[in-house]
Amino acid sequence: MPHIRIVEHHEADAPLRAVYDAMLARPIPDAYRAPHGGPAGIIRAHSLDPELLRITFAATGTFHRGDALSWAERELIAASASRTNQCFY
Amino acid sequence: MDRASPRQRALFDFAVTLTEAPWSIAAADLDRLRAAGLSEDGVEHAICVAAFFNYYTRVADGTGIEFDYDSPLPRLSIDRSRAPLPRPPPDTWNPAVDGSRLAVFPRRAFAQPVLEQWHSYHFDRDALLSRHERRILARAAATELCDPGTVAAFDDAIPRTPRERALAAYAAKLTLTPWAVGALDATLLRAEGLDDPAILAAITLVAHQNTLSRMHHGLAAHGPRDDR
Repeated sequence: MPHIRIVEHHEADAPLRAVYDAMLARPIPDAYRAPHGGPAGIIRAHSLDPELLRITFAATGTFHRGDALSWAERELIAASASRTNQCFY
Repeated sequence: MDRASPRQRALFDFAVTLTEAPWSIAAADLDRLRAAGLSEDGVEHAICVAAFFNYYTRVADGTGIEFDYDSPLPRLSIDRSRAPLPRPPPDTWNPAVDGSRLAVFPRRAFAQPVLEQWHSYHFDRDALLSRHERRILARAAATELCDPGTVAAFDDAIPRTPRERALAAYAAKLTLTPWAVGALDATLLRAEGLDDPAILAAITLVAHQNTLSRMHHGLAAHGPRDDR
């Protein structure tokens, strides 16, 4: 159970729904798509503030960009950081 | 990591160090990445990836959302009682590290505008949490991140009320032991009058500071590696 309210896609108002849909429409690797087809948990974690959600993923999503590291190498860094924090993400 | 290439090993070690002991990142760590074949673009990109995932993990832990990806990795067993690494004393901190300012990545200029927007959204507003409370959160996180610039820049942000002390304690805990943050920690904030939107603001600001301070540790890395 989440510790704060999470607004799911199906119950989202227009502003949140727009951000959720924009997130789902991003051209990202399949590995970042949640199996259930909706916005991933880390996205929905921000649901109480759609503008925060939009700005956050615009900024942090820049990690996808760059030619110097392969996708696998980016994954290695990400997974290593997450494991060190004892987190699945 | 036994069968990893030197480059993979270097990336792994870098990510682990920037995550658990960012204050100890030294020029030698960056040189090791370069020796493994990373360009300067690659070094900056590696810093960013590791720093951003220190954001995501803390938001996941702070909000308590479930993990909903398929993962090929073995199931992680979490030791919630795991202790954080001890922090070195302030007189050893790198004076060039100032996470109160946005980090500049010379080879990632495309990201600068959205990073600025992100930083501004957390600090240049009084909605949900006052500017002062936001600085309290950031300074408390920065103290545990051995970030002298932020600690000094926000030297007005000393907690004085129960609510402020609760915010500072939460920021320290989410920084030090994110794996130990749970429903009780959100309850403690609620007891000080924060509603869920304010709790989200606190979680994300602390997580944001964890990213920023690490970016600076990576970019300002200098000198010989300290013993950890």
